[in-house]
Amino acid sequence: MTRSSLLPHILLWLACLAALALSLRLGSAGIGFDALLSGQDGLLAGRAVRSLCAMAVGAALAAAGVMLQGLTGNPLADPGITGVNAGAALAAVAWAYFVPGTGGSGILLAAVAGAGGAGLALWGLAGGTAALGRDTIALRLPLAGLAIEAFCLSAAAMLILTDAGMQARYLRWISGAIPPVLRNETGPLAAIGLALAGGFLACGRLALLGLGAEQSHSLGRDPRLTVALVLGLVVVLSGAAVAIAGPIAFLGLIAPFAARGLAGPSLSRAYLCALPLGAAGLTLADTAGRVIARPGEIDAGIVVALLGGPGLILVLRSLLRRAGTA
Amino acid sequence: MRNCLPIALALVALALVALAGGRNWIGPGAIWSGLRDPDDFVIRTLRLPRVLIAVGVGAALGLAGALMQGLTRNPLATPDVIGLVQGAGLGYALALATGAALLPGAAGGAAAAMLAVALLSRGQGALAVVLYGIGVGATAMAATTVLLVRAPDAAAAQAMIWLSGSLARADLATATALWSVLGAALAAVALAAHRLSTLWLGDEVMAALGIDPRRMRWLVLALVTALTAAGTLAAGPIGFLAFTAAPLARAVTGAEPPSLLPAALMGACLLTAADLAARLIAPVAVFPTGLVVSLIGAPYLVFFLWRDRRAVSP
Repeated sequence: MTRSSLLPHILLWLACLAALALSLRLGSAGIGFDALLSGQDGLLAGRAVRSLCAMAVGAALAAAGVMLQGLTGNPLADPGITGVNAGAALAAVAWAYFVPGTGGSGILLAAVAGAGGAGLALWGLAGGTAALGRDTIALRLPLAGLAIEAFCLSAAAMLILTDAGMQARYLRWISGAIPPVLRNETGPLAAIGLALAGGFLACGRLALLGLGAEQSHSLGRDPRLTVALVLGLVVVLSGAAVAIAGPIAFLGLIAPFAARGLAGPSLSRAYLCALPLGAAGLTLADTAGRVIARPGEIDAGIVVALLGGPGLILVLRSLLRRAGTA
Repeated sequence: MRNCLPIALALVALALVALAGGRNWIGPGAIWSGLRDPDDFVIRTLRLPRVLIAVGVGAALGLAGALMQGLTRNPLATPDVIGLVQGAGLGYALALATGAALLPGAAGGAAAAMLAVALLSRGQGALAVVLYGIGVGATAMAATTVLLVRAPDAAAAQAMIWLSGSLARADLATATALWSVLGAALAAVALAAHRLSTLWLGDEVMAALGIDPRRMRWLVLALVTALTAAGTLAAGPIGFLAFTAAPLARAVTGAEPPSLLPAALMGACLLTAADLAARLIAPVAVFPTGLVVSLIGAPYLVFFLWRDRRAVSP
C-alpha cells in the first residue's frame, strides 16, 4: 500500500476516534471530560460500553453491506433494506417469546438463523439464479426486501405488543436502539469481532468471484464455496448486530456507498474503509439521538433512517443513471 | 354494479360482526337497542365510531389505490408503497406540532411526497417511481417518528402504535371528517365514472374520445391526495391496504380494471376484518390495526413478486 492510499484510512480511523470521544462526552446529561475522567459512578465505563456496542454494530452492518453488495453486484443490497435484519429480529423476538430466559446465546443463534431464512426468501423472490447478471434483479431486490421487512417487523411487533414483559425489553429495540447497559451482549460482540476478521480474508475470494465464476474456478477458488462463505459471514454479522441493537436499516447501504467512493474499485480497500465509516456513523447517530431530544432519547435506528431515506434516493440516482448510460 | 353486490353484503355482515365482537360479545338484540340508544357506552361510544372509521378508511385507501394504479397503469404505484401515506403521516405530525389544521396538513404532506416522487423519478420508468417512493416513504416515516418522540408527553409505545396505524382513538368527530371527504370523493368518482373508465385505455384513446388527459390526471391526483390524507388522519399511516384492495376485489368479483367501487368495498372489508382481529388478539391492550393489515398485505406483495418472477422486468 502506498502512502497516498494509506491516508484515507488514517483519516477515517481518526474520525472514528473523534466520534468515540463525542459519544463519551455527550449524553442526555451534558458532562464535562473532567467529571467523566474522575471515575464517578462508573459513568465512563457505562458510556464506554454503549459506545463500544455502537461501534461494533456499525462496523458489522457496514461490512455485511460491502460483502452482500460485492456478492450480488448490487449497490442496493443492504442487510436492512433487503429484510435480512428484519428476519433476524423476528427470529430473536420469537425465541425470547416462546423460550423465555435462555440468555444471550439462544437469542444470537436464533437471530443468525432468522437472518439466514430471510436471506434465502429474498434470493427466491428477487429472481434467484435465473435473474443473476441481469440489470433488473438490482431493482427487484428492494421490493422483495420491503415485503419481507414489513412482514417480519409486523409479526415481531405483534409478539412484543401483546406481552408486557416483552414490551419492557424489546419495544425500543425493535426500532434499532443501542443498549445503554450490557445485558448479555458479550457473545454477539465476540461473534462480530471474529466475523469482521474473517470478512477481510474473504474479500480476496469475493473479488475473484467478481471476475466471473469460471475465472475464479480456474484460479483454484471454488465459486460455490466463496458464495457460501460470504453469505455465512453476512448472516453472522447481521444476526449478531440485530441481537445487540435491533434491526437497523440503511447503515449497510450508506457506509459501503461512501467507502466505494473513497476506495475505488478494490473490494478489500472498500471493506477497510467501510469499517470505520460504519462505526463512526452509528456512534454519531447514537450520540445525536441522545442530544437532540434531551431529556429523552431518539433511538439510533431512527436517526439512521432519517439520513438513510435520502441516502437510498442518492444511491438509486447513481444506479439508475449508470443503467441509463449503459 | 351487479358484481359489487357480494362484497357489499360481506361488508354489511363484517360490520355487524365488528359491532358485536370485542372483549365482550354482544347479541343482535343488544346491538339494535344500542344503536338506537344515544347513551349506550359500548356501542355508541366505543364500537360504532371504530367500525365507521374502519369502513371509511378502508374505502378511502382502497379507492385511492385503485385510482393510482389506473393512473400510472402500474400495480405497485399505490399511495402506501410510493410514500404518499407516510407523507400524509408526516404532514399530520407537523400540523399537530405547530397547531395547524390537521386535514390540510395531512393533505399537504401527501401532496409534497407525491411531488418529490414525481420530480425524482421523472422519465425513468415505472419501477423508478416505486423505488424512489420507498425512499421518500422511509424518510417521511423516520421524520414522523422523531417528531412524535420529541412531542411533550408522548410515550414510545403510543408513538409506535400510531405509526403502525391504529383505530384506538376513534371518535365520532374524526369519523365525520373522514366520511365527508370520502362522500365528496365518491360523488366525484360517480360523476366522472364514464371518463375515469377511459383512464385505463391510455392517453391516445382518451384524446380520441374528446377527453383531456391532463385534466383527468389532475382530478385523479387531487382525489388520491384527499383520500390518502383523510384516511391517514383517521387511522395513522396504514401500509399495504391500498396496494392489496383493488387486485383482491378484481380476483373476487371478476370486475374489469377500473373496479373503483369494488376496490373501495374490498378495502373497507379488509380493514374492518383487520380491526376486529386486532381487538380480538389483544382484548385488553391496544394493538395497532395496521400491523394486522401488513400481515395480510406483505404476503400479497411476496405472492405478487413470486408470480411475476419469470417476467424479470416488471
